[in-house]
Amino acid sequence: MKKKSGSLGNVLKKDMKRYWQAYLMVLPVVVFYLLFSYKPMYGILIAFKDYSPAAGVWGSPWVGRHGMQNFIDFFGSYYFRRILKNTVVLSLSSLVFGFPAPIILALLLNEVKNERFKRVTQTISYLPHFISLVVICGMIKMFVANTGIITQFLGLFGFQPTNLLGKSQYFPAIYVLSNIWAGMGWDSILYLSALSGIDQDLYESARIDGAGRWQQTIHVTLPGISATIIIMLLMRLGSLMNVGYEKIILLYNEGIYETADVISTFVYRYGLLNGQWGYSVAVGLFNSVINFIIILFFNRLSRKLADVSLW
Amino acid sequence: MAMLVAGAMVLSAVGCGQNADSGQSSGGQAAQETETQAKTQTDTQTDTQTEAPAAEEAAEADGVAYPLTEDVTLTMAVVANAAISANYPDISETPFWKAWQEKTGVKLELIPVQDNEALKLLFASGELPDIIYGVNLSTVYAGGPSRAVTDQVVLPLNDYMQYAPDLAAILDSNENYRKVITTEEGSIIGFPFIAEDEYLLTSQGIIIREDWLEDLGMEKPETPDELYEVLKAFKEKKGAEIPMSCDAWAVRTLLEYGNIASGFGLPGTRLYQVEGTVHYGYAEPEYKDALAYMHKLYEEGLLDPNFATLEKTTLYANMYEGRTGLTHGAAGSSIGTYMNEMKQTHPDSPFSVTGSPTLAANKGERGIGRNMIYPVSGSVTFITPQCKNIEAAVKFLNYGYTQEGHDFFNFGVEGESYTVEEGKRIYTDWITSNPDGWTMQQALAAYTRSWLNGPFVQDRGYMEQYAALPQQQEAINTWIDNDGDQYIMPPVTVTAADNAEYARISTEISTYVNEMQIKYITGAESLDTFETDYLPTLEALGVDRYIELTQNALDAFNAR
Amino acid sequence: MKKRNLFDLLNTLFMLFIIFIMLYPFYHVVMASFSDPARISYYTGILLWPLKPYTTEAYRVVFANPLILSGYRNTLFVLIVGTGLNLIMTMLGAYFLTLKGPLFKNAITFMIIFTMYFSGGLVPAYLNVRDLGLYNSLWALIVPGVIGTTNLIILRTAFAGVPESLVDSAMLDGASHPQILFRIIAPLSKATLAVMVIYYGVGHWNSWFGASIYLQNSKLFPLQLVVRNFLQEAGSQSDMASYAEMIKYAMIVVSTAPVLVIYPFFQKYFTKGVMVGAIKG
Repeated sequence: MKKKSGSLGNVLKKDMKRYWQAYLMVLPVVVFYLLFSYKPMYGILIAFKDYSPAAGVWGSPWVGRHGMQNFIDFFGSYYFRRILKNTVVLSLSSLVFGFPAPIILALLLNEVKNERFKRVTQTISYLPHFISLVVICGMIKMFVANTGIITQFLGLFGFQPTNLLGKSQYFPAIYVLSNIWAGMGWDSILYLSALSGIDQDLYESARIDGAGRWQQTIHVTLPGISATIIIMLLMRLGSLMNVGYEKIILLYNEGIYETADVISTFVYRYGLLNGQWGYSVAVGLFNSVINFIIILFFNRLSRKLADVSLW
Repeated sequence: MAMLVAGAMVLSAVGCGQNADSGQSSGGQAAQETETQAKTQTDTQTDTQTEAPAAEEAAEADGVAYPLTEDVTLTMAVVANAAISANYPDISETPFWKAWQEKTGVKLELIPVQDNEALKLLFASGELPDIIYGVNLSTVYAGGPSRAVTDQVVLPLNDYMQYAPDLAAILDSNENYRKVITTEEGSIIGFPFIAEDEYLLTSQGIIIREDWLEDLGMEKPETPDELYEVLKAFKEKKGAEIPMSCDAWAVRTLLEYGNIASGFGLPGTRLYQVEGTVHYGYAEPEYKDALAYMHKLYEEGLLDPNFATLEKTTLYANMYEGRTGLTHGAAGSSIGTYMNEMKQTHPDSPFSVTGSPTLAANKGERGIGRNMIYPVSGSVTFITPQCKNIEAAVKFLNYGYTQEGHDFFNFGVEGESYTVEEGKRIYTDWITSNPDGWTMQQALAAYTRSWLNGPFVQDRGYMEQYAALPQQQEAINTWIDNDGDQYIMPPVTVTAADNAEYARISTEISTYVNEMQIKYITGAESLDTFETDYLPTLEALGVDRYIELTQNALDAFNAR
Repeated sequence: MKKRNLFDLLNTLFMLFIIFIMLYPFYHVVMASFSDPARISYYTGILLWPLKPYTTEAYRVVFANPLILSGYRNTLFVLIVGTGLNLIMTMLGAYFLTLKGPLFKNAITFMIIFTMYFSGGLVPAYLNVRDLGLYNSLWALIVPGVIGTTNLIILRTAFAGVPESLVDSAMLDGASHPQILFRIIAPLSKATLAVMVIYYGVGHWNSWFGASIYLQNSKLFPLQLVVRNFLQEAGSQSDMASYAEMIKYAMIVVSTAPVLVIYPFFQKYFTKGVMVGAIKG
């Protein structure tokens, strides 16, 4: 026992000796996380408490049922199933349709031979990202109103012009498509940068082996950016249950809550709008835990299958 | 980058929402408008009281002498308002705030709060300034006034009323005033905003193009059928593509306050009371008829097809371009805006809008809905327990209830923003036609609080001059010509014990009814489900308990 | 060969389509901002040119707002100082995570990843900023978000892609950790660092929420918060009533135009960075 702790001390000493510079470099980073992420983390307790500002987080009384009242209320809520379902639907459809879009765009851009045209296209493709969400959503609303340009365009195909955001069945499509539109070019930056990192010799030898363009893509390009893709996918999966509230609250209206109300918008309404902090933090915590479980699972899976992982 | 946002969101890292959710908190509206809107959400609140401690009332002494001689500095949080920030990025430079300090001799350290969300964070932080100016605790504090007292956000004034003799005198003049600012537990929560005159209590209703009516030889519609005919005529003969343009909030208000619902025998879809018995209009059978009617208007293209997502700017455009002939709005900010704007941009246009009455079921009957606020709205200016010099703060806030303070809050500084002519206080040209092109509201905002709220009694002279056009005065007179006032609920609050339950039920119910209203009107949901789905769901959400709790609160309120 | 031409043709068409759908909405907004307010709100077709009579009234109203200028200044400060700090801190963190040896590497990695999923929420964050004396200061917009964990992971992935042999030989030559990071790894990861600059920079440019809760003094407001408040209020300010719609458009143009002018230039360096990365990588 004694001997073991002694060796632990030795190991520590050795580690410090060898890596003191590295530890010194990471120190500000660790301090940052401690100060701005871990120090405020006691706020999670609010989920189990009847928060009263005067008493503070620690001093506030626990809510009923061993502090679980907020969770019990949430699981029993009329809206529980709906917001869960909407979150999964919007998230999965964003993943299925939205995740490949920037990769495809990057691959296609990579095939454009005229450098100038390529650069111009790429530059323009992430233009929407520089426009704030408020504005983007304002434009979306305008374009899908009954007189809007998109609605009118659909009208050419016999579609009855109506306010698309007034009907709940169209919301997922509007949400996902506009996400793709706004994010595709931007997200492709990373893939393009990864593409540019692929060794040109590999293409050369593939060509010598008689590989066509399509085969080069399959055998050289995709493997070349697979690490990036997997990391991005992992991060995406880790927030599978996280559908941001900002865009939705700008787009939705009470008439389409049926498909548009998700966990985060629910949290937003109960927290900041209604000031029911305990309830809102509880719902948010539920969301986080699920995300965390999902990422633990996928991270392990990916480490096993592809030897790429977040940690 | 969606991921970054997603990753960072986590827990309750809820953000402040653009105008998204209601858009109704937008600042620069006339006082009553703001009040009424706030009340739409507060209906849900109740307030019972116990005997107000009469002990302090004796101590009226001989009044407070202003300016105070003591050297005092107080911190005060003020929610920002567009009408001010447009011209005064630093609110402490506003003439109003400067003058208030001069007149009372108290130095103020103003803490601007950007919006109600930021205010909620301030409350939640537990670090409060001495005073919070003019907020409705029922809307900005979860759990309402009672909870705010127990959470030590609000300092009860019961032990300090002797320093506010002028307020005490006003509270004594009308028993209802004291009731409203007293919680179930008997705490006096703050300095109320009071509007005594009936003329000041109703500022919203149906707005109609009267020049079109005249052209068509039609009268203002008084029944649902007449309204339908008028809209049809607007569409067919006046080329109005959207005869009735309203956003979702306006549609809801027309039903909640009964302007239209009254035509179906319903005083409103909100909580109302009939001789002391609480009703919830959303759960009444007549509501179905009103919905069927609204659906018909929608189906036939008479009601705005975009109402669910409509923005105010589009509504304005509809109005100016003659695409619409009927909407909902306020005398000051809507009718005034429309008229002034048209006068400037289309001086030759016969354009004229005014108020149209609350509908009645049959011709010749009186309507039973009115867009009215209670004389003492829930809005109070209050002192927090963290205030170091409570006596000075109370005296300072008492100022608005003195004669001098009354003139100051309503009309501003004599010689600058108003003059006295034959005993009447008349706004100067600087206010009514500002040389820098400010709107009257912006000019008023620089010198007064009559357009918003605060610790004082609102003066009728304000509204008469603010809504000075004949169309505006006619509108207000039209809107108050009904029996709707009999059904108004006072701003009551439930007991602290029932509060959490009440808040949960009311949030869930209001989400549900708002959602279903839009669906029934647009036809996304068939009205056949009204009895089979809608009413049972309301029941499941606890509507009976909701009404019961409200009833208890009202009983306690009336029992005094 | 034919197949290939067909592909190129289709690809070019697709790119033209992308250009159109990305460009048009903004073009529409610009054109609308000069159009006759009376006609614009219900105009249904594609807008190629402003609707007559042209007007610049909306821009007059926008520029009359004193907060626009201070908004630009504040945003610029946050953008430059913030992005600089972002970059340094993220590099330090990412470098450590690529090391194989340190005993506490896994612990620190997990500690960082964990924060992507759990946080104390808004109220403690707000209190924290107050306690640290950052409240009502532009630093409140910089410090609490000085590292974006997602970006940290991306950068770590890039750093890990630098050939180990290079690092090892530098080690043997006696290079210190800071030297390895700044002299060897960073230059080889220029492309990703450029991406980081853009990610953080745009994040700063577009953000307003932090400002809305941490700032009181409107002279400190960054541009986007000014824009947001303006857009909200446009409908309720009656002096602009009939121009309200135009003002929205003009505001969008004014707040977005500078980036649109600048970022293509930035793009040049950015592409260069990518190229450098390509050659070395």
